[in-house]
Amino acid sequence: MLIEPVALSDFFLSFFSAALIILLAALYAALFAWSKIAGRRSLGIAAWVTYFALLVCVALFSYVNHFSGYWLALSLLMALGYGWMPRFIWRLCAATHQPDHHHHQPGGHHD
Amino acid sequence: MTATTFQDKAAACWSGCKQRHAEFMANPHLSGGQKLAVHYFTVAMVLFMAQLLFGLLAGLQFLFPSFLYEILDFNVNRMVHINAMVVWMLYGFIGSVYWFLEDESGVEIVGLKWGQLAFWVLTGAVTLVVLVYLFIQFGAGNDTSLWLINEGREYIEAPRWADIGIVVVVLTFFYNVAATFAKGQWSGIAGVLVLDLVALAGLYLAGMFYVTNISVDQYWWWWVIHLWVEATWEVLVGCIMAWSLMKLLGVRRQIVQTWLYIEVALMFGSGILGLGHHYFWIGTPEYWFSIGGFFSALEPIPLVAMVVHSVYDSGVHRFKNSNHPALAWIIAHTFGNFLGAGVWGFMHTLPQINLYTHGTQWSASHGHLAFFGAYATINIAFFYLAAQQARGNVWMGGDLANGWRWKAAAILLNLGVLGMTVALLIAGYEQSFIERAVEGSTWAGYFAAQNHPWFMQAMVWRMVFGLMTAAGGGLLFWDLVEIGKGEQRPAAVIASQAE
Repeated sequence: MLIEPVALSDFFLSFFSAALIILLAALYAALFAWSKIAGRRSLGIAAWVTYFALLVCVALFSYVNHFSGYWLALSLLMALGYGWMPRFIWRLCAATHQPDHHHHQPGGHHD
Repeated sequence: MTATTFQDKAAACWSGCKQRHAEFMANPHLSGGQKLAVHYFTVAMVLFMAQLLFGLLAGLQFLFPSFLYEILDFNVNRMVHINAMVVWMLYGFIGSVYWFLEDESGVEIVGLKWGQLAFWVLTGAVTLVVLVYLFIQFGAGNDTSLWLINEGREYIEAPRWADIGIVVVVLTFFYNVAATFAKGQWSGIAGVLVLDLVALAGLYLAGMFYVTNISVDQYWWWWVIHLWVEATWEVLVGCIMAWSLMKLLGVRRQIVQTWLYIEVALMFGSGILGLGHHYFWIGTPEYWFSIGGFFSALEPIPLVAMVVHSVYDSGVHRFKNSNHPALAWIIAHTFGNFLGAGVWGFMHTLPQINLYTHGTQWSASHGHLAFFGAYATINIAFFYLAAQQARGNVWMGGDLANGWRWKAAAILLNLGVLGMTVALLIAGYEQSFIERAVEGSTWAGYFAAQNHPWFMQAMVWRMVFGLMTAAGGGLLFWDLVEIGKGEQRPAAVIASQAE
């Protein structure tokens, strides 16, 4: 069998760490973006602390779900992806929101 | 009441309806497409009420198993509950597209008469299908019943004749959309929408043929269920949301279209192969464990991306708008989608844990919050946009007369669904633990889990929050009929956002 199911004693840890991965990823993304807008160093530090907690949850989730072999690529993807994605999205936001002096109406022009 | 009196009352009622319909059709504030959209929205709301009613009946049967036994059994209530949900979502989406089609293309809808005919055909067919569900609940399953009564596939039980009708209606809808954009102005939203409608009609065909191998049957069945919901519906809602944000908040076209393309890219990157999480236990090869697990884990990424964009927008811009109920429901959409689809989905999506949770109340918990958060909310937001325009594009912001109604409806509906979700989560956790892990999915395990105090208490709480949701739904219906009546202040024009 390609997978080893979660042990009965680890049910709660599996659910809880999975939920925390998504919630912490969102919190990290929000703190990262907020720190960029407010320019406050404390928010940047809070974002990094959140990201560290996210890494702990990914490790715990990988452990209780018995990740091994190529399943560990998923752990790596979560760790790197959730760290990189907010930065990428921020750059996209900044790029797409550049003022367009030619079109001022809501909805703007059609292609 | 005598037969004559009843006939007189029915005639008076019919006459009143016809008069109101004639008055509505003369509404100078709405275009032809928007009038058709309001027809779709009206039926959507009626079906939403039906969904709530049959959901309550099914919920009561968990508490009192003999309630309506052999009169209106649980399987029928559950079927109508879910079918009503699927169909009212579709009515809402189709109506929303008709609503903005003329505005987006800059021309009148091509073949509007066909669209109107398709609406009445679809509504008649839906009514007939539901009546058949209710009046013919038992009997042998054969080719005749498959064509005329019930196809037997969970969630898409509509008989074959209705299936064909649905595809014809969607193709008519496609014709209206594609021909209108072809005649008028083309846009990024138009391109994504037209391609998505091809997929919407095409994928439904996967649920219309019958094979004797249950694994193969389930394989194709999931193409409709998963790919409709997590691919075509997501993109359709993306198009609706893109147009709504331009109108509601004055967001520039360039921005919404860019993000619409990104959404489509992410959907191709995760949502399509995320289909694999439904293939874990139906007899498909083991490689689906890896494909399903891997791509399902990617599905929350767009939701996290959304957080960055939300903070960016709220930090740089102000949410100035003249339709507070619509914006409130769009905000509910972001939270509901994130929690219901993202958090609740990822908690049980990998095969290592899904082995225990698959098909328990855990799935129902995820389904309730995800469908409400991702789809019901955006439809309701659009209903409020339509109500505003239908009343002459009046102000629907702060200090609106009877503004308590939309606020109370939003609170009751959101808290009600969230409460049901948590109650079902507790029930699902208990089922996964006792029925699946401890008892090894035996019949004894099934009944031990069903009779466990945690399960039974969770079902009581589900009922309490279900009643709260139904109260919110009723209030919402009332509010949509009344909101903006008598309001004289015009809606403020939303200027293009200042960068």
